[in-house]
Amino acid sequence: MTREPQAQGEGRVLEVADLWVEFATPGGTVYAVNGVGFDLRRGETLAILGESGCGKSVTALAVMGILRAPPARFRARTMRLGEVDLLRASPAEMRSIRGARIAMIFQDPFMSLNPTKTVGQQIGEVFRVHRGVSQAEARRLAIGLMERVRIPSAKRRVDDYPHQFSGGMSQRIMVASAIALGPEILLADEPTTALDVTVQAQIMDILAELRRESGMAVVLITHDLRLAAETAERAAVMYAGRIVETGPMADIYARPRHPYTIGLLRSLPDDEGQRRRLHPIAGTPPVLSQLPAGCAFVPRCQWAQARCSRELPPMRPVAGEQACACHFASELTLA
Amino acid sequence: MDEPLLRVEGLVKHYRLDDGSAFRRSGKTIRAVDGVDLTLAAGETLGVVGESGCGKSTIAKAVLRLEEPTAGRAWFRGQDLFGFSRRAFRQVRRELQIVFQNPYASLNPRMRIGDIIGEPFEVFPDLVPGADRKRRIGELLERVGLSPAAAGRYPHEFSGGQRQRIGIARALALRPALIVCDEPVSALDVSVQAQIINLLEDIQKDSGVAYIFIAHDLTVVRHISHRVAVMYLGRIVEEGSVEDVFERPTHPYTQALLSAAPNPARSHDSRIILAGDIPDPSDPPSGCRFRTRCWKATELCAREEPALAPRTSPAHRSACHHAADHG
Repeated sequence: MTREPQAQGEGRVLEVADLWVEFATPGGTVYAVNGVGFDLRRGETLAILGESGCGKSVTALAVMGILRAPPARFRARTMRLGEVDLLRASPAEMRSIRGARIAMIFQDPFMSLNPTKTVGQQIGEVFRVHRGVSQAEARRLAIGLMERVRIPSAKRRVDDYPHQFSGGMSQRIMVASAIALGPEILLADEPTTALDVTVQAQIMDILAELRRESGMAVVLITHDLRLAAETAERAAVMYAGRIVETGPMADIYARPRHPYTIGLLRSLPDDEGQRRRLHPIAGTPPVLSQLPAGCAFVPRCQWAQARCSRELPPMRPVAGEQACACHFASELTLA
Repeated sequence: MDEPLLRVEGLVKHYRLDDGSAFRRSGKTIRAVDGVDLTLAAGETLGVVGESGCGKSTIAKAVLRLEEPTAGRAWFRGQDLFGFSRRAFRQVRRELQIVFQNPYASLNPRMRIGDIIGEPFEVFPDLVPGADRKRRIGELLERVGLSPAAAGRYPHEFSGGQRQRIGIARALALRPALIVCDEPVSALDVSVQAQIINLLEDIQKDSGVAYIFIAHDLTVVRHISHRVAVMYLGRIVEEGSVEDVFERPTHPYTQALLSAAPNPARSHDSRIILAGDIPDPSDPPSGCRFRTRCWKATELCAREEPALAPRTSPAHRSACHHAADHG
C-alpha cells in the first residue's frame, strides 16, 4: 500500500507541530505529551498507536481544545485546521469549529450520552445549536443519521433513551452525532475497545463507509496494532509522550524500525496461529513525572548504548516515508 | 477410558431478575449458562471464547462454586463437585484456583503481598508448616518473576502486570491441578500481556497444571490453548482442537467471530459482518439461538435446537443444522 508522496501542505487538513502537554499534580508535574507533531491528509486514516499512558488520548484532547486547564498546561508551535490557526482561535470560534469541522468519539459511549434525553434530542441538538433548525427538523435529521449508522428501526428508536441501547448501538449514536455536520476530521479514541469483536467489525465498517462517502479524515487512536494495520494508511507510534516512529502503516507493520515498535509486534501472538514463543518487552513504561534525559525507552531496550541515555534521538527518515527516533534504527532488524 | 481431570455435564446457571418490587419477581430469568458439557485433561488448556453475555465467566464461577449452579453435574478427578457440602468442598477447592481479570480489584489493598500470597496457608494450616511459609512465599514470588522482597510491600506499589503476577502466585500457593484464568490479560497492555502469557505457559510446562482460559481475544486463545470451546448465549456452539476450530470452523457464529477479529494478514473482503446485537439472554430465540443473526438460518432453525455433532473429526463438534462441510 504505497501512496504518492504529496507536495508540502497540499491536502493537509490538520497540522500539529511541537505539541507539549503537562499536568500539575500533587505528585509533581506529569509530562504527558513532549513535542508531538503530525499532519493529517484529506480523507486518510492516521493511526496513533501506543499503550496506556503514552499520551495518545491527551494529544487528541489538545487538538479538540477540550483539555481542562488547569491542571493541564499546553503549548505548540503549530496547530492548524486547514486555514484556521487553532492556537489563536477564541473560545467562541473553537465552539463553532468543534462538531462542525472536527468531531470526536470516545471509548465509552455511555459516558458521553446524557441519560435524561432521548437519543434523537441528543443527535438533533447538534443541528439546533449549529444550524438553528426547528425541533421537528432536528428530529427528522436525527432519524436520517441513525439510518446512516445502520440503527435498525431508526424511526421508532429515535425517541428512546440511551439506557435502552446496547454498547454497540450507543457507539453508533455517538458516531451519528459526530458526523452530523459533516466534519472534515473525526478523532476516534479507542472507539471499539469496549465492544465485542463482531460489534467492533460493524462499527469499523460503518466508519469506513462514511469515509468513502464523505472524504472525512480519521485519526484512529488505539492500542490495537492489528486494528490499526487493517484500517489506517499511516501511523504514528507513541511512547512516553513522544512519537517514536511514523510512516505508512503497512510498512511499519511489515518492518518496524524503532525498538519499541519492534517489541510491540513481537509481543503479539502470530497472525496465522503459528505457536512461537512470545517476546515481551521487558519492564514497564517510565513514570511520566520522571522522564529520563535521553530516549525514554532505554531501560527496556535490548540495543541501548551509553549514547541513548545522554542524547534524545531526533526523528530521522529510515526508508521511504518511514521515520524513526532511534540512534540505531538503521542497524536493527525484527528477528 | 481414563477419567479426565474435570468433567462437566449439563451445567446450567440461571439468574432470577428482580423487578425492584419487594413482593414480586419480574419473572425474568437470565439464562447465563444453559446446558454445557466440558471435559479437561490434566495439563491441558481449554480456551473458552465468546462475546459478553455468552456465559463464559459464569461457567468458571459455577465450576468453582463461587456461584451455586442451578443444575448439572461436575466431577473433579472423579469426585462429584456439586455433591460436596460447602465445608467438604473446601478441601477440593485447594486444587482448583482462579486468576481474575482485574488485578486492581482482586488484591486486598490493605494487605502486604506476602500475606496475600500466604493467605491460603492460613486456610489450610497443615499444608505448609509455619516455619516454612516465608521461604515458600519467596519461592512463589520468584516463580512469577518478582523479588522475594516484594512480600513486604503493598499492592498499590505494583503495576498492573506485576499485580497479575501476584494473583498468579497466590493461585499457585496450594499447588493446584487446575487454574481458571478469567480474562487474565485483557486489562493489560500488549507488551505486558506477553509477559503474563509466557509465565502461564512456563508454569504449565513445569507443574503440569491445567487451565481453563477464558478470553475474548482470539489470537491469545489460539496461542495458549490446546482445545477451544466457542460459546453463544449460554451454549457451546463449537468445540475441538485449536486447529479444528480456527482453521476449519463449521458453525456460522465461529466463522463470523473469527472473521471479525482484525487480521492484517487476511483480506477484508471476506469479512462477515453480522447484523444486529446479541439477543436478550432472558429471552433467547427459539431453536438455534444464533438464527436471528445467521445468514444460513432456515425455518428448521427456528423450530429445532441443533445438537453438537461431530464434524471434521470426532472431537470437533458444532451445533448447527447447516454446518459448513470441510470434508
